[in-house]
Amino acid sequence: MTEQIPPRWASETFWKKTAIWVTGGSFVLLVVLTFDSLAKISAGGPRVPAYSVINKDIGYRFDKSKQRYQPVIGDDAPLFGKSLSEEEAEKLVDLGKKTVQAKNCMNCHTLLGNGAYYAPDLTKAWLDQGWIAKESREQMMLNFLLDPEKNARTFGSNRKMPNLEITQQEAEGIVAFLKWMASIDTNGFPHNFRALGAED
Amino acid sequence: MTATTFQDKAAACWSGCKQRHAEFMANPHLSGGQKLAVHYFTVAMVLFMAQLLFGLLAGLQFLFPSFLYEILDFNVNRMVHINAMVVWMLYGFIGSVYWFLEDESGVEIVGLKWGQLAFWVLTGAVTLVVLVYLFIQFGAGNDTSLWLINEGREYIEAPRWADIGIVVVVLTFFYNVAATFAKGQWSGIAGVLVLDLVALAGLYLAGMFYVTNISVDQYWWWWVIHLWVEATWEVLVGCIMAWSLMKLLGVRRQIVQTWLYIEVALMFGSGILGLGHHYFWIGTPEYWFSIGGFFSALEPIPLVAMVVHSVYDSGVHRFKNSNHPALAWIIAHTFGNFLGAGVWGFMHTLPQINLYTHGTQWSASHGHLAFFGAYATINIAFFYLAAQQARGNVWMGGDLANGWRWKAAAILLNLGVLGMTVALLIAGYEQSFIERAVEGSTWAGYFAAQNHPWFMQAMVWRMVFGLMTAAGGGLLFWDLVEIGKGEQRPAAVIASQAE
Amino acid sequence: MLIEPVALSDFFLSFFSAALIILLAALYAALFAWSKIAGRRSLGIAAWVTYFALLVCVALFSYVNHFSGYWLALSLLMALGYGWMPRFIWRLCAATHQPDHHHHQPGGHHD
Ligand code: HEC
Ligand code: HEM
Ligand code: HEM
Ligand SMILES: [Fe+2]
Repeated sequence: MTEQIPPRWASETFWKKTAIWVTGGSFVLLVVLTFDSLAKISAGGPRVPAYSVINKDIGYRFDKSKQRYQPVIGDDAPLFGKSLSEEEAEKLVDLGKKTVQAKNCMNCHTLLGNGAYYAPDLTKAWLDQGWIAKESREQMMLNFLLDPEKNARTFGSNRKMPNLEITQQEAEGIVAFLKWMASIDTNGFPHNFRALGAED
Repeated sequence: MTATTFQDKAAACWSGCKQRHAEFMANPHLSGGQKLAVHYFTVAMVLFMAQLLFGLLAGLQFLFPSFLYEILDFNVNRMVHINAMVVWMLYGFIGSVYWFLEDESGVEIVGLKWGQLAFWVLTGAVTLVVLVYLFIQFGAGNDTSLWLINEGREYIEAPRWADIGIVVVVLTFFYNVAATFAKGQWSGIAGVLVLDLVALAGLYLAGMFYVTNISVDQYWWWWVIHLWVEATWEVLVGCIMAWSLMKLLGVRRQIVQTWLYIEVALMFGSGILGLGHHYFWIGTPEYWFSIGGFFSALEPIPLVAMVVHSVYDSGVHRFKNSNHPALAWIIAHTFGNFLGAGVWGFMHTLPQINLYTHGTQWSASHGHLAFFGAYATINIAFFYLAAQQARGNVWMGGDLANGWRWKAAAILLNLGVLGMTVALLIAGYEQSFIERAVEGSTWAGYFAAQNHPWFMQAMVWRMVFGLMTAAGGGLLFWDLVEIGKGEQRPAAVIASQAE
Repeated sequence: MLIEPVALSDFFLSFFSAALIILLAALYAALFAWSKIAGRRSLGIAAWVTYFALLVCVALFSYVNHFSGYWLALSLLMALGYGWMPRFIWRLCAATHQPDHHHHQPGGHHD
């Protein structure tokens, strides 16, 4: 044998080893990052508030130092006028999340920007100016979810949300879920969203 | 029709089906594994047709919102559209692996009977799931709905009972693959394939549990979706292609396997951490900007590398080929994968721009071209290989009887999807300006973008090209049923790579 | 903040330069490979011209995406990586396809 054919750097065994190391290395890194991320996004962690945040006022403002929009947790503003314990709040949000899945909202809407593109993004739906004023918001949201056809806006498009047979309790759960979701720090998405009641 | 005549008709239909199936099972040109593969391919094609039909329904609702309102709402149509897609592609992959398993391992499939049983169980389950989607649609906000009706998570909506069923069936498939290789011969392809299947099935588990926390929910959801299409599916296609290149073009095994390893290194090296491009805005920390941006910028590299390699191969070897439709679809795969994943993916992948394109028709534009270009194409290529063999390894070169049909189908499908992609691109471009940047993604802002003339016209064009796609799909179905039936000439013989 | 998003007026440039980076990278790679096969100088020159256009696109893309600090490494990577990669892949093609006379049956098993 004069020269190895093919050369070492182009041989099957070399690339087999490379493939194994590259895959293994990337995967280990992903696992490490996953542990860190999951810790940071657990409810009550630095980026995703505890469910009892629905007892507070939630805003969304441009943060000059971070140069992006950022949720702001304010004073007491209990949802439906009842201050809930952590467990009660979690139970209510959980009912909302389950309803969102069972009714398949994500095949029309996006949540945190993921889902379908037939209807508005719900990431900050709690803060939408469509609910006119903070005082009218909770009742308007409930009314809308219970009968989206009668309360349709559609902005001239005639694209209406169907009636999904949502119960009163489920609707309250959904509103709690939407309020909680609006408090998540999403790194500035959506940009330029002018929240209900945001001064300026 | 009276009850008895209906019963008679149903009985006649049933026995007709049984007879045709018996005839098929007696086909002398196919091995046991290949017959099972054709079963999978047949259902895959039926589901592909369903995908197109429900895509059309969903697309029409953008133009006529009262069409099927509160009968078959957009979310139902869309769910069937994308579920049918995921399932038909998985059927195609499973079929392709069964197709070459015996050839690659050198022995008969170890648990063919189990494989057949699994096929019927899976197909029954899929049918039931779809019927429930269509007729029950949704339930109350509790666990029962998630277990029995649907889980409401895009692409993996299947209810929990079906998830568990799918895992059992996939385990049977996995057992067949691993045990058959273990009994026969292992090879580099076998090794990559088996490990890739472990990863593919394991990832599905990440999508099988419920959590309240939407950020955690989406964190794992993307493990399934992204790590499927941008890592494990690409490598699975790599295995299928590796075997095909060897068998069809006579390329030497050592070369094919070396390149399979190179592809694994490049795909997994960029794709695994490229997952970060979905972690910009779901509550996850800011470091994902850098990681997702960096690695997803690397993701087009393997696709560009394939360009060099194909030029090298076509320039240096001048391969002959005995199945023109299959080759045409393999070429469509190379281009489609490059454009849909590489170019369209890169255009919106950095956080600097994804802030505005995220969750708009931009994603749908990329999603259509990438799924079609990368995965529909390669499956269709394999269907043609199967058709050729099933009809007795007949001629499928030039001057084929009714050769216009496969060409017309290919042109309509490719142009149709490309046209839809461009229409959606324009819609998404407009949305990123008006809805995302100027109006700040509010309810009113959303509709400001939807009512813009650019958007409305784009939706019309999407339907025009969608109809073109569907016409191509219908022709393709017809062609696969008919191609090569009256053909007497044997397939062109391909010499192994002479060097 | 780790990023400065693209300005409204630059959206088109961002999409356009991004698409061109990948397209030109593939074109450059193809021209390079083809020039090697055909041995034609004109193709080699065309490949270099394409590569130069690719560099311009990387610069434009980096500019409208407000790259600074860490992100400039990405620009560098794209400029060098897409230049070097086709050569590497080419050498890899040539090396892996070298005739290998002993004990390998074409398409057969070799374990
Ligand atoms: C068939 C598609 C569809 C489904 C399913 C659907 N929606 Fe909607 N939704 C719409 C449309 C269309 C609008 C806009 C209605 C209007 O303007 O009248 C809308 C509007 C809304 C709004 C107000 C918009 C905003 O920005 O605040 C909320 C909140 C909402 N939906 C929540 C939900 C929830 C929660 C679910 C699931 C339980 C759901 N939707 C399911 C189509 C749908
Ligand atoms: C064959 C491979 C690929 C397929 C099938 C594919 C498919 C998809 C689909 C269907 C979506 C939409 C998901 C949803 O419903 O929310 C998506 C999103 C995305 N893809 Fe791909 N993709 C592929 C490769 C790539 C590559 C190579 C890149 C980057 C270079 C990329 C970048 C992205 C990004 C950034 C998003 C998020 C869009 C958003 O923010 O809404 N993709 N992909
Ligand atoms: C008959 C032609 C088709 C039509 C009319 C059509 C229509 C649609 C519509 C209306 C949606 C929903 C988009 C939204 O949420 O706004 C959709 C989603 C989708 N379709 Fe199609 N489609 C067609 C063919 C295809 C094909 C051939 C493929 C791939 C093989 C495909 C893959 C997808 C994917 C992956 C999504 C989800 C995209 C995302 O979430 O970003 N479609 N389609
Ligand atoms: Fe991805």
